[in-house]
Amino acid sequence: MNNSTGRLRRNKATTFESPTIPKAFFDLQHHFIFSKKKAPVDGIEAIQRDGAAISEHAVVKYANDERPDEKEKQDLENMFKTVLRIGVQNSDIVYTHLLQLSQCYEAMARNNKLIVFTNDISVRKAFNGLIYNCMRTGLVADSKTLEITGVLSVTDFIMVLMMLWKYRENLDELKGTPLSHEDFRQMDIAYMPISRWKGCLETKGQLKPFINIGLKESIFRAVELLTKYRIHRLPVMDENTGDCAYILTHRRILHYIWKHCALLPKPECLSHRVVDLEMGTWKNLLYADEQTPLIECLDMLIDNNISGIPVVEKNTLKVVEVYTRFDAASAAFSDHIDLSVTVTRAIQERDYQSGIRRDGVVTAHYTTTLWSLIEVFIDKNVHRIFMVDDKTILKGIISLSDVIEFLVLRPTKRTANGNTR
Amino acid sequence: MGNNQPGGMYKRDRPFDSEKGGSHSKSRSGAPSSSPPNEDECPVQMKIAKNDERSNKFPVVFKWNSTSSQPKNVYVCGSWDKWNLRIPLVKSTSDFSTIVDLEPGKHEYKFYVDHKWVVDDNQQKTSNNLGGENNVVMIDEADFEVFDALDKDLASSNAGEALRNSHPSKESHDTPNDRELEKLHQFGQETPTRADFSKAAAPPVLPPHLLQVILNKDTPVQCDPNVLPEPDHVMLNHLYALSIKDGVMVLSATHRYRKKFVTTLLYKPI
Repeated sequence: MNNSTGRLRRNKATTFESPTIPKAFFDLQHHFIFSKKKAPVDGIEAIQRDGAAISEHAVVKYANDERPDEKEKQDLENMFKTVLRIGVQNSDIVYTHLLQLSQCYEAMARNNKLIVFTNDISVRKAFNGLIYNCMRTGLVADSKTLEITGVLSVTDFIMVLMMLWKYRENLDELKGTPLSHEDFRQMDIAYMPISRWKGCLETKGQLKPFINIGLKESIFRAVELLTKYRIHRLPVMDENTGDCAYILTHRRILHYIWKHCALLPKPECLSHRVVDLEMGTWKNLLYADEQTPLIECLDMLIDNNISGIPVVEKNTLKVVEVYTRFDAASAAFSDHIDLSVTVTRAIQERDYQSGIRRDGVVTAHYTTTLWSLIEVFIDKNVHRIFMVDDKTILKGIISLSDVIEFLVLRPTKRTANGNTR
Repeated sequence: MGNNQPGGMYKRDRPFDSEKGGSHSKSRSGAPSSSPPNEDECPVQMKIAKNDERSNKFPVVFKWNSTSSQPKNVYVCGSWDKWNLRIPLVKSTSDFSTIVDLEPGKHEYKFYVDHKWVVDDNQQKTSNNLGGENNVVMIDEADFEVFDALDKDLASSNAGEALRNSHPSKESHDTPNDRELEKLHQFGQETPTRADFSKAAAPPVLPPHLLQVILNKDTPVQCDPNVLPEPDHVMLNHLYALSIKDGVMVLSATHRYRKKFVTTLLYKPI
């Protein structure tokens, strides 16, 4: 913050508030300055792979949140530098510190798209809007005050779908017949405004509170919230205006770490085998076989608060497919919605609807290292990876949230335990 | 507007030397050396390079317009330095000109064109004691009051003329374009009313750069659907709308937050 005096600052029209992170929170032991040639190859590749969304300059964290002036810009061509002030006595805690020192603002993309629905719009129209934009989450705002009051996600969509279906199951004469779009349109449930839908959930005790975080709070705090409430999307709000800036996901956090990890010391745990680390689920796995009806799959997703389940061969437990919450959204495109079909059939339907066959399910061998697992996450852009053995038999499941929790929260817990002992 | 005077002599082509904030105070603190304390605040500053310190001299433009023949060298000499120096005029495409800092008061001067002393017949003249003629110029401090000067200019200029008679009679020749009309208005602090624009036949044309709607651009499949291309700064704070379909209105606007942007789509039933 001091080195800006005497230099011409660009962007005069704006006065940035200085970051609220205390400057000397940790011992300032190292300033990492890397030349491009010396930076680890995998880091550079990661940055290049990210392509246009994250430019080369994005790697650089400017101390004062300022654009560099022209001369500096030139130097940047040849040099990566970061002034991340991270104590590295214990490399295990390096990502925790990184996120503690980063505001949520920094994980924001250059231009974020957000959808806001006023709460008097019908649930059906809102879902159409989401699907039209390929989005998974929208925000709900009060129609009068336009204050953001909640989130509308694919989960809501699934719940509406299931409610509709179960309602029909109770009517004997209609039992088992597929839902046509006509039915869907006539149904009260799909027609009701979001406000009533949310009210419905509230009376059933299923309404989750609206969790959000300020732009200036640390990403570490965001991880804590995501874990505490077992949610996947965290709206990041501007404290001053109450507007939402973007929606933070585990994916974005992992990408943020990935972007910086080339410049940071590597914790030892990254080279360990995942099976030896305390992360993911290895026991009491939930799975569906090829003949499981779709409605049961959806029940499993909602009741256990999970985002996707593996579809396995019945006898061998060979992983063949995956059914995720978002797959359910593609049901909105089909002519008839029938939740009694098998999950395999639903997946075929989905492939047909989306026009592209997804390249199957993402698996990794259970002896793989954490580092290569993270690479798969970044590469394939999935939320969960199924851990399999040589015969692709299901061994365990590791989700993005598991990884983030392991990298970020575990080191703090360990030190906390250490202190109490 | 100062350029509308017919003659060759411009007293106020130069913007008034800006004191801090461009105030139009008369006192010229003759110390430009006391440079602005903060370089950061420079955009409003306009320094005049040739500025004699400690004096209250004003820049005056001398111009030689030759219609008939194209002279090679033109100088100007004057009473301000007791006819000492021949100040060369700089040639531009069709005329010669220079700027001399003069004190207020009456000055006589004469042009020296290709080794001959001549006067400009278009300017005020006076007879000199050698039996010939000199041009004469009055430097009035008040002329350098920017706003007064602009008003005076306006009063004598074509534009001012037009502004005064603009109302009924001059509308005969076909639709004046917006820029021409704009020139007739004065700059001021008051927000124009709707009535000022009511005569325009159509709304103003949409600037072409606003036609680049980022929401309409195809994004690659593998891209995160939550991410849009970076907007041009001109797109910010503009309202975009989707035609109303199915009883739903969709509006969008892009805002800046620090160095990043948020594009918000609002779905509202109507």
